[in-house]
Amino acid sequence: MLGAKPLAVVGSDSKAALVRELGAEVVINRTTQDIVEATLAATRGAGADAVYDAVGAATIESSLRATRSGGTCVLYGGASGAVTEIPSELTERVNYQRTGLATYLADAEAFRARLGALFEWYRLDQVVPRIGGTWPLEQTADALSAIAGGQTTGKLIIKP
Amino acid sequence: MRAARVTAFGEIEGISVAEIDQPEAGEGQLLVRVTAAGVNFADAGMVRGTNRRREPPFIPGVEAAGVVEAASEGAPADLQPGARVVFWDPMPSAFAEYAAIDSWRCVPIPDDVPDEVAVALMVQGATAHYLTHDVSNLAAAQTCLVYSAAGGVGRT
Repeated sequence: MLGAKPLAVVGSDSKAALVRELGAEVVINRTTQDIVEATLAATRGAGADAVYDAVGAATIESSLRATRSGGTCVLYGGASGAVTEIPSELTERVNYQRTGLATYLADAEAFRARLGALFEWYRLDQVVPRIGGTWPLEQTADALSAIAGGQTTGKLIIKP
Repeated sequence: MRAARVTAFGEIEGISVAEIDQPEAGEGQLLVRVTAAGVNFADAGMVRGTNRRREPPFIPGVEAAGVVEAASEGAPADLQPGARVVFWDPMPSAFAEYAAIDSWRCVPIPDDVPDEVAVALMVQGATAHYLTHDVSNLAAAQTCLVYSAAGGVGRT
């Protein structure tokens, strides 16, 4: 939607197939490919202009190495565990930031401005959410087990 | 009302569903009848106690779409009873028939946007929005590496 070229990182072959179907030209399966090598190969050796990492402890070093010199590397979650220490030589060459949604949804104006933009993208077909499954309230544990297991795709919904 | 409940930190299978008292809209809050709540990876950490937000007992779930049932005094005109809204609150309470949420966290859903879409755009959409517009100002022809690409919001 922004004209930028995404390098889509996924954790399985079936997820790779899904994001290809959705239009991603460069797909990296982190369970079978080296993220840094694959990123450098896709960017003529430069690294990515921006890297968005919410996996955390398991990936942050690769993420920093995959960021081009002077590019931006954002850590916005820790699905694989919290990041503690990072070698400074990795953070010095890029604009490294740790942040989270609360910073950017801090008041009513931010909620309305961001959702307003997203509703517009949806109308223009520029963002097409996929619903990956729906569970009744009684099966809340099943829905959470599914997402924690890492095998789901798209957005999961609980309907009370 | 029916609500999912975490009575002690531990395995996800320990979540129960029980009949509990319906919450009331406190000062500055809306009572929302939940129609579609969004599941997030981080929910599991809140249940297991590895990512603690509330101490048990609590209701998991941080985002949902629904209908305003009751509004506290001074709530905005477009958040009055009957309004369709979507909300995010990092202090969990959403996996229930009703949730009492600060009104500033609630956004009216346009008529042409289904509840499930509004929820999908809440945490994942707002995250994609701030990452590409605020943290970095991504421009055309630039490259970005995106993890969990098969997750909540798809299409590039």
